[in-house]
Amino acid sequence: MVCLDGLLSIFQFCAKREKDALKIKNFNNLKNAALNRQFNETYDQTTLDLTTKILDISPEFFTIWNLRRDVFVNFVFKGRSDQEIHKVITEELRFVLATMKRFPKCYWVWNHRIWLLKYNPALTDWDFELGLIEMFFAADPRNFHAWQYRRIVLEGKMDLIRNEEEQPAKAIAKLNYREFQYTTKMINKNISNYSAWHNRSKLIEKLSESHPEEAQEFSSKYEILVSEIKLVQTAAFTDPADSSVWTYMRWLYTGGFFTTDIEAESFIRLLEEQVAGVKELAEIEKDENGEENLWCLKTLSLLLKELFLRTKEDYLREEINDLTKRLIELDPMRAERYKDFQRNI
Amino acid sequence: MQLFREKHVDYVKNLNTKTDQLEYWLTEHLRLNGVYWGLMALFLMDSQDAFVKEEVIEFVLSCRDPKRGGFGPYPKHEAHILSTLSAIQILKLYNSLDRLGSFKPDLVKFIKDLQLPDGSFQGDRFGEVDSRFVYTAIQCLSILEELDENIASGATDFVLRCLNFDGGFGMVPGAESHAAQAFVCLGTLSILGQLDKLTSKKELISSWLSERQVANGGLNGRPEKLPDVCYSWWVLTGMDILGCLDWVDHDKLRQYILSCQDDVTGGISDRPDNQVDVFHTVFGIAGLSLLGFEDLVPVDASYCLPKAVVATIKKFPYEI
Repeated sequence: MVCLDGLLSIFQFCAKREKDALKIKNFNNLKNAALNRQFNETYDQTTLDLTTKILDISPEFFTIWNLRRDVFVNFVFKGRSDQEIHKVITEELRFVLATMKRFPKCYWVWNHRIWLLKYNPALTDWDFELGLIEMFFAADPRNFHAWQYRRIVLEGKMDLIRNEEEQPAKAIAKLNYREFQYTTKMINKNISNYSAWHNRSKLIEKLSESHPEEAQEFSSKYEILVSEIKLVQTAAFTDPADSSVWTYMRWLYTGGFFTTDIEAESFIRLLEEQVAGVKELAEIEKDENGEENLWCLKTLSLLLKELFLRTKEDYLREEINDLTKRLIELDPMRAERYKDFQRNI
Repeated sequence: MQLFREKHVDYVKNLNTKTDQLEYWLTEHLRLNGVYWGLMALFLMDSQDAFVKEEVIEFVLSCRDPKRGGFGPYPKHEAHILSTLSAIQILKLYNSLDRLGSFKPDLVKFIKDLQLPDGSFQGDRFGEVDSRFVYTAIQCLSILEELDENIASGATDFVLRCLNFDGGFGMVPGAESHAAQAFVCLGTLSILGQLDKLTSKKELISSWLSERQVANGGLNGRPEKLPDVCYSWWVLTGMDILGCLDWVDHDKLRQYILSCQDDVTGGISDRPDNQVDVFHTVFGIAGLSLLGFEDLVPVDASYCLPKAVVATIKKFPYEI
């Protein structure tokens, strides 16, 4: 049996080599023809067809994407009206979508799509693109490319608003608020969607500068902070093992964005409440799991440091020292970090 | 476990003989980058003679795109900033920048023309912007000793705008943090001598980087993701640049990298028992070098070139 298996796999190996040899010949013929046409700047239907065939096999071949765009600009679009060009672009977007579905992480494909959308932004259906992103999120809610693409699509929409609307600032603030609510939706669906937390931090910075009337939680930095604390607190109790929440909580209390515009006393009160909240959670975690939740301890030490810097109470320093000792013991991989932290207070 | 040095040298040496495999031909768009990765792995193992210097230089020069002035990843491919850096790095490794000869002015112009008004760089004439391209362009100009105040301040501003709430860096301002982006952004600031701009954020950035180490010792690229050998490089370099390399466990990381070796074919993969490739091979080895293990040639964290090579590059800002 062993021999037969070995023999079979040799046959399969040879068959693959033969098949590969044929594929290689075919691919190299297409490639050489296309590259010669690129060198001679022969922009016609034959060149376009060649790029279609090559990109179907090898979407990473960026020179061929460039050639394809050259053919569009110098041949396909030549002498056509805006509407006619728009029709071609719509068709091309379908071709790109098929490739994107097969290769959702290929930079060049996303890039080509963005180029198409920006060719004549006034005619682009930006909302259709937002719908498309939902499809990618359904497959992978943290697809990096899809999130970046979403920001680019919104930027495109906003550019249109700037050109067309009478009160662009208002419409843009509304759009930002809608995106903010979208991150709430994504977070409620899955608390560990770090990409959503990230986007939320960016939108908060924008909305604190300009927000629509209905967004009452944005009336002051204090209001924003209080409502974000509520969200992150609930999230922390829902899934205390997930790092997203703790990273976000760290930003709220230590990032400097909120501290600058909030009265010292109010901020100290919020810090004290949070310290109590995290301590409570740390206890629950220890009881339930029989071991410490590192994130609770790490966050606690950061919160206590902020509190100490404001109140200079000695007992806080002692608490921090105790926490550091425990962290070094429980998380020895990062021992030097904790030592540095303690030294720098 | 130990580093299978000879096996890795053989693996890299034989990469160019796999012409009967389809994958070989489908990766032409990365060939010049691949040559740099292979050559750099050999340099770190002090085995650079496994490649024929003159053949490699001839290949590099054949990748020049005469229409654009930069280098493509393969003859007749279009110039891109990524392959252009590989070309310059290879020539620098061989101490052969003089081979650029009369091509140099067009090459410098190609790179400088890619900078956009906001200080960022596009990868080629079609407008894709990414902090990777900023780093790549800045390293190119640094090796060629063609940086200037204007280029540097634009690039610095752009890279600082990529810093996020969590202490990581994104592809562009607004984009989510990713370890590869931490390397390129910190590398840019380091090459330009602008690290003091980060002083108030140093602790936050270092913490984010140190959180990348997971229980098995490997490093991941984003929170809640699997570890991967190449992040040994993207994460460790940032820590080295910021002076907090000891914030992760070196021995555990070493074990993780070594466990990703193929003890039969040589080469290193992203995770244990996966298919090896030259990309993970060089960054695994470079990570080990940065940690001072396995008696490797010391590597520079900002350039991914041997320290001895970087020592010959004029430091920016240039003395007049």
